[in-house]
Amino acid sequence: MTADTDLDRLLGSDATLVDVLDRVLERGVVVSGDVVLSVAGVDLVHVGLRLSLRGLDGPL
Amino acid sequence: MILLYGLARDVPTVSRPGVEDAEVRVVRVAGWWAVLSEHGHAPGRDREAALAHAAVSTEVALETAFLPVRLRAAHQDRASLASELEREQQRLAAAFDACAHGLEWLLRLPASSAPSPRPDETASGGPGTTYLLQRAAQERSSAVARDHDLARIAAAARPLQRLAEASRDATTARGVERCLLVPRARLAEARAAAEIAQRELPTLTLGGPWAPWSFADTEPAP
Repeated sequence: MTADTDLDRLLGSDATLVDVLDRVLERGVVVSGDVVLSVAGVDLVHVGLRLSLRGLDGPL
Repeated sequence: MILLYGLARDVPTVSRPGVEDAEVRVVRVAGWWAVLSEHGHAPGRDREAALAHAAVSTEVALETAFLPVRLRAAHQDRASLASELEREQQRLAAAFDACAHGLEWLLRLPASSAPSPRPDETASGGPGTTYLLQRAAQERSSAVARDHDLARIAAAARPLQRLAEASRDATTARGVERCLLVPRARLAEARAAAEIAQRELPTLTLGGPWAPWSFADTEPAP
């Protein structure tokens, strides 16, 4: 069994793969983190607010 | 960095690799069994990452009650993750109780083309009034088409709907969809019912069973 057929078995065919992607990226419970991941582009990460605030607490 | 896939109450087993082929671990955090992977950097949020995240989440959801977490953020370390889970304990527990015992099924039809509404010839007003009347007619027409499509889905998928504890309807660019939350314990029945729906209505796109993402759609309070 190839990796692709394994994924098909678990997630479904091409017809619904985009639905799975939508769900993973746009639905599901949100747990805030220290770094917010970005979808595409050169900037892969955006430093979240809490990380910035933690930085401000450190020595100058 | 830590990437969280979801939360369980009973310890799950995970056989597949996670995002960027990282090992997926099951770790006790803040009273939960957290399904996570650890990375030397913040992983990207691209198609491959999303598929890996989805596959891990669905594998666990098929095995045990599981609250899927959206692929959106990473945590600095386990202490940071624990702190966040403790802070959000109430919201996460409520979401878990609402949907973690179920699996999500998708039923979708391509949107019917709504007939173009005729301008109201009795309207007495300027172009603005005519435009507003046309827009109102279009919206009514779209709502009728949507209700019609949902009724077709309901008729074809009656056996699957009977198994469902909750449903959510949505209109997307791909059509009109109904998501159903069906208890994991009824998976075999749901598979058989889904096959019936597909036979009844061949244009129906059927998805699932997946982790219950559409029913776990909650964000932290602002």
